[in-house]
Amino acid sequence: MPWVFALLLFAATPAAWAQQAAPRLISDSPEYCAELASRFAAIGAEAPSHLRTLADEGQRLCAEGQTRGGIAKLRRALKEAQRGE
Amino acid sequence: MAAPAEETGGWRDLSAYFRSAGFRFAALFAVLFLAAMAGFALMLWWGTAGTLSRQIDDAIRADALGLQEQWRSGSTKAVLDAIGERLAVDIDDHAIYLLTDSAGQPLGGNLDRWPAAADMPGAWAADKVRRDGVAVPARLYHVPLDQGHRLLVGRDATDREKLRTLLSEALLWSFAVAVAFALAGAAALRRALADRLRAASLTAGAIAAGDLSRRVPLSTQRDEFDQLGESMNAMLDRIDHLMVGIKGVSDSIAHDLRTPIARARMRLENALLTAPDEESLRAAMETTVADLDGITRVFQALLRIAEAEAGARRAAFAPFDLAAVLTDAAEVYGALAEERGQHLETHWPEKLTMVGDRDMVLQAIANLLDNAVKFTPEGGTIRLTGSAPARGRREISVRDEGPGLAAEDRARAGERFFRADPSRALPGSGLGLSLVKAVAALHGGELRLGDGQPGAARPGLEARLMLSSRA
Repeated sequence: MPWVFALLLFAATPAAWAQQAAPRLISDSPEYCAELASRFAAIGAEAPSHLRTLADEGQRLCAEGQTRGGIAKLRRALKEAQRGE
Repeated sequence: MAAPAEETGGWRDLSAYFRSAGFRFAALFAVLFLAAMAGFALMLWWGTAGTLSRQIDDAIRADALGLQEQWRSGSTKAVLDAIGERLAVDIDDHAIYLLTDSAGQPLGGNLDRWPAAADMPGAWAADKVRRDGVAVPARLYHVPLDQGHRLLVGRDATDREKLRTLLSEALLWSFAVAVAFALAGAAALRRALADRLRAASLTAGAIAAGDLSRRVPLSTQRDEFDQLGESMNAMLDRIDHLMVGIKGVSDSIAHDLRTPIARARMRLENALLTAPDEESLRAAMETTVADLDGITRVFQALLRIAEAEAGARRAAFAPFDLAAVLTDAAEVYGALAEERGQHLETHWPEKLTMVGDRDMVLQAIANLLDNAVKFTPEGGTIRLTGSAPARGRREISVRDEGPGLAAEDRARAGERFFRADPSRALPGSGLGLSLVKAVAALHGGELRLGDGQPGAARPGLEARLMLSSRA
């Protein structure tokens, strides 16, 4: 049986290696979430309240570990705020 | 041992099936149907996945140009700010940017390192990037900057790939259905063709087996198959008519030659039994020889008609002057007419060149003049003319002052051995006009018979021999 595992490992390795070798997108990290929050803070004072609520919700989701959802809300808040300007 | 023979027969049937016109038409239909489907699939692909790809590329190109402008007019910081702003409002989360320095170190963007597939400056690349640990397809564009800096602009192509996959599956299924429809349609087409041709095939088979009365049944559709059937039926009617004609000729030959042969035999027998002296016997033999010469002439005339009808003499066609031929004929028959107290009037241009068989044309004119001399009464006039009524046409006319021909007799005048009632008392074989008609057909023309003097008590006969001068 050990040789079967070895074979499976050998077969799986190139695909796994290729996946690992691909460059990684870093715009879904908690750090990026914090960067977006600070961007909104810079313009947020004049933003309507519903956009501030949206941005707060985004920060909360990031804090809870739902980074992509949080980033999406922050981005929407930023875009709407820019449009308002 | 029977099995291989059956296999051979099976292969032969299969081979015949593939070689059949029905199968080839059906295959053509299937190929055209599938080609149309392929064209439709290409248009669909070009209009959906292709459009999406082009839109992604256009967006990337515009983005890259904008950043390139920033680089030229500003500084590294200006480009990094622009990238940051663009990423910050990328709600769809599709944008990919990376700016590196001359050492390849990332300066900004959302990719952790430069992808190996996008090394070629100014080139497009399709590669994978990891998002949340999952490799996703990406479309990338490498923009070389000065001082060894490099900019990568791209888009996440997951949606495009999903659309492509969906479209591929849909087209694959459509293709499978189209193949099924094409094969079913081809089979139906082959069957329809075979059904429509079966009637003609069965008729041809029955005729080949000897039943000449069979004809192709026609439908009410009046389509190409009915036209083919009509042509076949017309051809069969023609063959039938010719067969009847041949039978009639055979009967006529048997009937018309039996009498002179029997007469010759009787004359010889009588002479043998009753001739009082050698002189009477010699006279009887001379008369018999003359009778036999007449029979030989009939055979010669028949052979010449057959030769003309078969077109066998067409190889001997050559240019000649019809005016000279008319002159020759007029010399011979002018003298004969004079002997009988008739007058021969002639008229034709100085030159009437044409291509054809001179001897046959002379024979035809002689036959017409022979008839005219035979039927014109003493003191009557025979008129022989030649002309070129149109480009490429020649016309010879012989008009007499005889009793003429009734309309029903004119219709039969070209038949072999046909003799109208008034002429039965006169010598002749009934082959003269048959030869004239055959010569006319040989020269791409025809023989027309009409009254010489319409309305007169003795209308006479005008025979017009129309010929093609180019044959």
